[in-house]
Amino acid sequence: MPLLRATVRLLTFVLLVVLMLAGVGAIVLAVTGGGAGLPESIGLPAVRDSVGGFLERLEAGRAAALVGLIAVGAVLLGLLILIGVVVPTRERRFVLSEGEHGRLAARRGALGDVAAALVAQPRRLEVSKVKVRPARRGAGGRLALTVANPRRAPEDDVKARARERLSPLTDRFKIKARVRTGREHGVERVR
Amino acid sequence: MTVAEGGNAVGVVAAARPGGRFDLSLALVARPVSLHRLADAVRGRIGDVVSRAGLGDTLGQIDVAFEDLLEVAPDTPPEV
Repeated sequence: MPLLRATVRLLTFVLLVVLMLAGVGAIVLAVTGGGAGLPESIGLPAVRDSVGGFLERLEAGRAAALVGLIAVGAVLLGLLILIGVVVPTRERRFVLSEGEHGRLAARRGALGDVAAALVAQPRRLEVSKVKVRPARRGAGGRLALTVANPRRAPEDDVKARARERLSPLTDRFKIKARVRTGREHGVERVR
Repeated sequence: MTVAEGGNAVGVVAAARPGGRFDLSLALVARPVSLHRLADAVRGRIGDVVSRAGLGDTLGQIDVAFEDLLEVAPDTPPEV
């Protein structure tokens, strides 16, 4: 669904730019085009000559397969764009609990900030990157956290300390946490 | 912000739903506390207000979520 929405946004932007350029072009041609009409000014007769052969084959029914393929593709593309525009999306959140009284949850940004604060607050650990992804349905999700390790402490110790500090959060929200150190990425000190 | 009777209600968004019901969103600022305790406090206060208004039967579910984490100055007055 995010891909569809991104496609729709891109298509909308491109079409608006094309429309704007066409409008500007039409205005410029109308002002400076002299006696020539708009079709002649933008070279439509030449386009007609170049595609004339194809249109004749089309009329004779010799390009039916190609036309059918293009038509099916256009219909599918239109349906995908419609789905991207019409179908509503609900923001995925980290769910703590859900019951008859309602739902307790946290947005991914807030939860990522809490995770970084939990790991960094007692100092000596510096969080350089946090990525969080809630589960599609219900509780749970994933959290990937990168800890800078400038003092070259044993990596397993750093990871264990970070996991321990994260546990109040990851246990309650049922999150799978993955901790990496900066040295794993060839980074001595990320921040 | 929602335009309410007698003025504007800051931090409140009201949205009409089918069937004559409404969704209300309240943006609150709270200290970092247990989400369960915060939810109990919020639900309790909302329940009291709604009951006093005689609308207790119409109250639906109340979702409570951490939307953002703010870093505040030490002398910031407490909220909620």
